[in-house]
Amino acid sequence: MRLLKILAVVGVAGCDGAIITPSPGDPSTQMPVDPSNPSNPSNPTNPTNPFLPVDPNNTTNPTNPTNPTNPTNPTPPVDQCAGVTVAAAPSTLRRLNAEQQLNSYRDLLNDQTLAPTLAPLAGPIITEQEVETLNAAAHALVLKKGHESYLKCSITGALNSTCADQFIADFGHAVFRRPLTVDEKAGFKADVYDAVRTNTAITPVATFKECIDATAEAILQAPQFLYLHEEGVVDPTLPAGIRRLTGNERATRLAYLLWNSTPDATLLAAAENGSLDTAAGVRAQADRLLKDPKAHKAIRGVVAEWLQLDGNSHQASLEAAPKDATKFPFDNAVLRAAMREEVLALYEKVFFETGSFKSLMTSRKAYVNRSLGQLYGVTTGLPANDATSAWVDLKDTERSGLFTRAAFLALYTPQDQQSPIRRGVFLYREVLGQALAPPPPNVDNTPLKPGATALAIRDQVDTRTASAGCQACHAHINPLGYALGNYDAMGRYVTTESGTLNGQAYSVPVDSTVTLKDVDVAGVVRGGVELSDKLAASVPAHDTMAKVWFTHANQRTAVKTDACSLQRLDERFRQTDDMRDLVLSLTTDDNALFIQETP
Amino acid sequence: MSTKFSRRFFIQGFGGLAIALPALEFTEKAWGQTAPKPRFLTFFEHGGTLTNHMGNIYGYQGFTDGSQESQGMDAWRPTSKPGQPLTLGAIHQPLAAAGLTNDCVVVRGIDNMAGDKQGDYGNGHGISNVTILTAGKGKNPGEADDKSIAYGPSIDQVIAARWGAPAGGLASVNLLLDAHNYGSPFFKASQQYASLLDTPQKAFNTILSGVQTGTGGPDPAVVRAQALKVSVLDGTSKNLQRYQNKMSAQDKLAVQAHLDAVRSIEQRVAAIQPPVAPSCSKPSVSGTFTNIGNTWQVMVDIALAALRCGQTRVLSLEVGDFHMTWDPTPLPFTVGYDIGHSLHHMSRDMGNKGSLYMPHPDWLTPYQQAMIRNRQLRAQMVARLLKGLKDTPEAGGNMLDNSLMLWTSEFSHGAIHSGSDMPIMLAGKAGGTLQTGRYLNFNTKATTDDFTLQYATQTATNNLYVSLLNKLGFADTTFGDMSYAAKPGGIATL
Repeated sequence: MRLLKILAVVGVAGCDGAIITPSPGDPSTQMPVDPSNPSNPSNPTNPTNPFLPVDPNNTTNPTNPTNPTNPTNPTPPVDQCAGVTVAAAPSTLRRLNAEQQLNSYRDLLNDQTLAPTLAPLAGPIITEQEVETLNAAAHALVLKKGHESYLKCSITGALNSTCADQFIADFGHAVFRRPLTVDEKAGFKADVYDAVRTNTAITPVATFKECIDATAEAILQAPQFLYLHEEGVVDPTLPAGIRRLTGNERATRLAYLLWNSTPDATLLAAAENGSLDTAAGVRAQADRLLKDPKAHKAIRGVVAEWLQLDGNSHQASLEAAPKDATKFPFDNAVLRAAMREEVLALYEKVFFETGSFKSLMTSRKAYVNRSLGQLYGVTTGLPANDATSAWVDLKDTERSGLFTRAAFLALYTPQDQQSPIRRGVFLYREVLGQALAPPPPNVDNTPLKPGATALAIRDQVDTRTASAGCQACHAHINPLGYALGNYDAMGRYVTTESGTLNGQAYSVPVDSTVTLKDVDVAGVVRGGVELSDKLAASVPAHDTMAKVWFTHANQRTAVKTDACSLQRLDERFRQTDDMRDLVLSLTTDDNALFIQETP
Repeated sequence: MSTKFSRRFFIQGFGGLAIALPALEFTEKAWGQTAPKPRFLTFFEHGGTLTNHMGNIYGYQGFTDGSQESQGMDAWRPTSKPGQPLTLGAIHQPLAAAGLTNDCVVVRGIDNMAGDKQGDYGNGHGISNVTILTAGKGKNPGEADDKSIAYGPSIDQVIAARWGAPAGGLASVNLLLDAHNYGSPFFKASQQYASLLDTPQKAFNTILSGVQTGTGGPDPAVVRAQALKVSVLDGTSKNLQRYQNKMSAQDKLAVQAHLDAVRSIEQRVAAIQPPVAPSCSKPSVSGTFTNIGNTWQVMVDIALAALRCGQTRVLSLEVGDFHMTWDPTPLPFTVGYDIGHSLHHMSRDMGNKGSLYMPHPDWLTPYQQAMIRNRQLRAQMVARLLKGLKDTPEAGGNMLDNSLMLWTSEFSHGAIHSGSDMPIMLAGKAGGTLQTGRYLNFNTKATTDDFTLQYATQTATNNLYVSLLNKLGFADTTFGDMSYAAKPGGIATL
């Protein structure tokens, strides 16, 4: 292991060799992705290129990630569904994330203004801080009295055991997304309602309201609310080892996929009258849910997730990404918010109008406020101010689709000048779905600087990444980024780059013409508009979109047993190009209807 | 890991006081009836330190003299040699200025062998973070969207589980001053992060809001609310138990963690708080906290209050890899860096053949000074914490004498992700079991020349953590996964 480690490092040592003349500039070779993610460089299946490991989960992509330079001779596709009757995976316990908790509480308590503090998920297993936050949230929610609408008697009245039983059954049913078991009902009655009622530490004795409020608090923070736990039921028509999800479990899947929230009463009723026991019944409810405004908000959330607009512990969010205030004096929080809103609105519009992935990649429609419209150079139909937004048409020679928009272009860029590497890495990995190892730790990530023979950013990157070791990855990354060279660090369209070298001002034209090498986007591309056309037609880009949705729907990374599901989704989505159809397909995918038995 | 008392042992059922007795008995025996109970503190800084250690890779034998691409200063090492009275190095000057030199032990020549053996080329931030305090197996992810995670508890959490929570308090308090990082090193158990408190307000609410420092009886309304809260938590824990019964083995573990947390909170709320110590007072958290530069002081004060008020005996302060953006001149020249990560990576381009040094040799000294200032701010945090403990008298001396602190990072040389020659400092006399004011170097090539450029060691963090457990009265002979270590047991000379 140690020997391989050293060899791998030597293999890229040439990456350090480039000598760049420093002056203020751009850390565009900073690690654009998680360097804590060292895919095995000693991958035995690919000895010639240790930096392009095989993705163990990528079992369906027909374009072999180990051979991305040879699109004409991909590994022959394997039928992942051969011998598979039901493509289901074992169900694992998942817990609702903060947004799902919030949406659910608001819907359950019928108050969209509720804003309890909720904790982000710290890891696969809950922490005490999360539990404490949930406990405090349940208390705060009960103070808002939304639970009282589930009570069929007066909360200010005398103790009423029958009414309490009814409250536990009805409120619990809504919060747990299924009827309570006899044990559960008796448990909440004895362990909370009666425990409070008879608690000698409470003097004078607890009122009915206090007993009900305490019971509501316990229900709102119960694991039956927080966790998605599926058991399924035996169905004799299914192969051995496969269970059918119950109607309530299917309703829960559906609601969190299409609403990112809890099922409503109609959906629960459908679950409990057997309507969801068939795929057709599930599909009918899916069609209904997708027509609800709640679906719009949930669908928008997926593009934010895909573009990672919220950042993470090592990458800033769109709102927090640092930008050079001297170079971009027009930058402010309102503009950043408008950038986010624009890409969310674009995704929503395309999704609900045509569903076309091609349109997402090529649309010239943009929902902008005045400042963002001006950043795009729009003059027609511009809103009067930044408080209002409107749909406008972007210049067809300059913009096309999601990846020519400011939110993406500004986020995947350091503070002062555009970064072909950060943008290229995102497109290569997150859009074309190709495997890429993190940069080695000894990579030269000092900011790029103009030099006597390399004034343009593209030339600077070429110089920096010229060695064979660097090219193993950068031959794929750089051209994708160069094609977006006409967009600066805030996403403005530019045709020249200017700066100073040794006190001398210079201005050089941007060259965004590249020859792409990868999969089905290979060929000559002139700028962001043509790149977008390539992405729109790309099979791997379609497959990646399907995988993004699959991951979102199942709240987990795809595993080997998902290969058949993904293959079916891919085949259909490549034909339909319709993201609505993709999402609806997911609602009746085997994974949404069945689970594998766990020992 | 050899755990004499499992975590389960402390948290069965409602009523923390009664069941904690066996633990108290154990520690009382080890420490005598009158000695104050020891405390264990961890200071963890992300991003390594300013060092010339190159980890025996990239063609170096161990250390660089700065004649190649990487700069050659080690600002972590003491200026004294092993065996001499300790004189602290550049980064640790804030400790020297606070009169803490003789409360510290600087330890060099220890490797994170668990991380080193599981990492791929260089050690990723992720695998380094999840192994540095666990010295065991971790997940080294192969997917960009997948995160590293530890498969065992970190040293502080092992100790916290054995000591349990003091009445009304927490088994451990983990504070985070958040900045760029790739994941916390603190794990309560396999795949379970320790609970992190990442703002002064959250930390205050969890640790100190229940502490009664005023005079007079408690407010009846507060007592009533507290009784109701205990009932809700008790009902919640009983519901969790029922819920857990239906789970598969793997899912049971996840629900058990939830159940443990509910019981821990319940015990805290239900406990009858002991009388507050004279030194116990609550800091104000009403300030404006927008960056680490204006937040660290109150976080350290909350840490001090947590210890002085007896709310915990195990405390950590974790600091992200910040760039001093609040400082008008974090660097004396503009290079376009916006995160601390870039600042430490610059270290490897500042040697005589470094790509930044060659055109700008005049940048080397200001760069080193900027790095030292950045790391000195971290040392200031430690100094404020240790000085506060030292200034708090208790039986047998002061609180620092009855504490043991471990200070480390996931890397030594951040820019090359080195997991060897880790920056390690210990402080406090651990109740008299640790001799302080020393510098120890376990680099086996440095026995005659402490400034040699060669490096080799047989000592792993596993061995260090065994010794720390021994210092605290535990008889462990192993820690983490000893198969990663080069030798068994602890460190005899510590």
